[in-house]
Amino acid sequence: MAGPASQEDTMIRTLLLLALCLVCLPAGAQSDPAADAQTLKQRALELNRDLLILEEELLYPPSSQIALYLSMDVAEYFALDAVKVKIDDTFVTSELYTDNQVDALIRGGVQKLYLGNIKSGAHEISAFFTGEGPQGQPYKRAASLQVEKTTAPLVLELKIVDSTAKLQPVFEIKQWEL
Amino acid sequence: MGAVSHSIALALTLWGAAALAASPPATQTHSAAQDLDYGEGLYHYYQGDFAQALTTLELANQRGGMSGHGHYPQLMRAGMYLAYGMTERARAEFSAHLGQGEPEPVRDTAHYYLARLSYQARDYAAARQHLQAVGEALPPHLSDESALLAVHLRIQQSGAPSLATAAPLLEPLADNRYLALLNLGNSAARGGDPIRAQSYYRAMLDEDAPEDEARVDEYLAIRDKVYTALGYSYLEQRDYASAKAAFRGVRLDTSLANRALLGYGWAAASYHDYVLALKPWQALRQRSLLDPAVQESLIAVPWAYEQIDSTGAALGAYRESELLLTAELAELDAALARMSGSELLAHLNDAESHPSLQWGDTHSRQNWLSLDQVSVLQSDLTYLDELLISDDFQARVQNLRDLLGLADKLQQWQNKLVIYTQLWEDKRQRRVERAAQLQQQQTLQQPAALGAAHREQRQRLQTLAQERNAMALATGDTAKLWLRLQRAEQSFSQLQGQQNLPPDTAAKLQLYRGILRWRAHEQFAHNLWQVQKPLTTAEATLAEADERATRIQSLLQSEPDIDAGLAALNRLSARNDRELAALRQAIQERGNALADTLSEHLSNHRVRLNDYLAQTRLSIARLLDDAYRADPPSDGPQLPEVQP
Repeated sequence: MAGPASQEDTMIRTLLLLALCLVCLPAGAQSDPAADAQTLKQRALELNRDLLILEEELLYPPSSQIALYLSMDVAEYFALDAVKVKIDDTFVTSELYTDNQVDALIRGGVQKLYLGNIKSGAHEISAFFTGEGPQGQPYKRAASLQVEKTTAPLVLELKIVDSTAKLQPVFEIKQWEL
Repeated sequence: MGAVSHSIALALTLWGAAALAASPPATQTHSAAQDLDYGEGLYHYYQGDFAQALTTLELANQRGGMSGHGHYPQLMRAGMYLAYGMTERARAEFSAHLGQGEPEPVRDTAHYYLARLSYQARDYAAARQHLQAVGEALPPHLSDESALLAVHLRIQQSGAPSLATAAPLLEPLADNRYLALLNLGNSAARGGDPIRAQSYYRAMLDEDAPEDEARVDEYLAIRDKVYTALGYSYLEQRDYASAKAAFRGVRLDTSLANRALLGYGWAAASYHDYVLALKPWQALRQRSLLDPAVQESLIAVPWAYEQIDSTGAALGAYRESELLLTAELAELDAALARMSGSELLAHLNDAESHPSLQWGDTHSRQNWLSLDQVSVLQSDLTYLDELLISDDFQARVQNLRDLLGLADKLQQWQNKLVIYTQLWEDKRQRRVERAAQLQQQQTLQQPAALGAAHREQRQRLQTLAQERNAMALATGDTAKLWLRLQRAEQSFSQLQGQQNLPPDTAAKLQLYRGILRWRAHEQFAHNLWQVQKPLTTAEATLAEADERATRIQSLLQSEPDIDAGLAALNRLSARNDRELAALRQAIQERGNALADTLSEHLSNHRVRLNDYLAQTRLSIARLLDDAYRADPPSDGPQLPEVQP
């Protein structure tokens, strides 16, 4: 049987080695994800894309399609809570915003708010914005636009823009020419 | 690599957004994207839905690309692929930016990420090549990452250089300087050069703390690691005083304190100060038994008691350790019994009971490793810590989670496609019914019949106009008086020859006829226009109706839109079913493999605990044996003498 000193040495060395192994793990150990997972993902993404195209073609043909987007250009003077949109006399969509959604909008994201169908001819698009104003007070504003629906898709962007001149938010509806 | 990829993608996002004046720091301003598709992609990305973000950008690409942002949408897409664990696609996309007359920041960024990708793929030569190609236009925060990558590359290729010669490597570092010094020190320690390792560790400790409060926690965590590593390095060199001093630098309220307390005890024990060693070990013994350092103290404490000849205390401590280890093993066995691929997947799928598995924002997804909130693993978290934080494990979990997300998307599509197919089948049915109705009512033939009548009317009018038949078009009083005149002339012809007729009757009738004809001719042009006007209007309407009827007839005969739509639906439905099946199979396989890995890891811990338990029991037996031999009972059974 080994003496206490050698027992002690062996134990200490073993523990030291173990501890060093734990401490000195490389800080950025690398490995590759499976290639087949990448292939599966790629195929699924392509399928998702093709399905979106088909859905749009089937349900929202260009001759009747209307798409509404929402964007925020800075948000110092307005904290968005909700948006409602009316086409002529009918409310077609409304959205209550989470912090995540607002954050995504503030960081430059654009939300596709509504995709639907309308008849050709003249229409009035109205958007109602609710939130907090420059001094944190409840703030409600509306914007509207007269549009002419043709056989081309109608694409509108609801824009919330900080006006540094007026020190308050400005709400606009912009029609995109396709 | 998943977590690494996610951090890269986040960094890329930050850079890309900054380049668009839509950068993330709270102090900076943001601008909405100028291209709606690009903006929509960003919107999904910032909410953590990488799959939808990539789909949106791919869709935009297929429809003609994105405008207004130069190379950035493509660069962002490459970053999103990287974040989504599709490294090969990301590599291809980053490579596509090179040699295209791209702006310098784009070129440098692409080179930097290609260097990261090559490094992760262990292609260090390519990583070095890309890193060397990075110029001066890299955004500042990426420059720091680039400098850290250069350090890691150096470590992988030739180990840590001496601190004196590492200046060119360390000079460009800013926030990552602490981490670089720690990793260089660890590399030297692994390479068997504790002196060099200690020089790096001390250099890190000599650094000033960051001024940015947000980085202080990170700095303190690295400093704890450095103190711990430095302590063990001194311990290895038998410089116990320095080791103790280093271990004392570790904050006691961190996870690394356990390891430092253990090391401090061993440092004291190494120069036979067992009483001092007992202090940290006993403190350690009060901590969670799930930590390996605490488990080790179960053996170390009684061993120290033995060294100071406190046999009774040692025996008591060993017996307590035996109980604790037995209980721990039972819990471990229960955890192992619960571990299965199906159960793991059920928890991963159950977003409601585990919010960490839901789609979160980019930041929370990046730190997803919330398997700790999955109940099957809850009790075993500390055992699994080491495994859970490994890049390989993170990449596997992230992949599994991505596949689950995609399967969920395709499942939703499967449901929608059934509805769409039904909608179009209904449309076809309605068309058949409508066609029958049209056939029955001869609706489609009516424009042709009306057209013929119209042509006949037009012809008659033309004849009247040529003949200037004013009386045929006469209206109002003229027409009524003309009818009355005709009746009077008829009566006159029947009464002719009778004596009581006034003699000038014929002359008067002739006069009236002349007057009426004159009046009718006066009104002829107006009356002709009045008749022609509605005919002309009807002509356009009839032509339109006829065209529409022809078109409807053609549609009814061929049904090209419904057939094409249904065919496309069926094609994509079949493809969706195939991909969904493949995804589910892959998910099941990966779930099982992940559960196997977790089980294997827990089994290894079980072996370790069993070793501790065996040592404890042997020590108990040895102490009892020594006691028995030192003071054998006089009236009890005698141990047999062992013959040499």
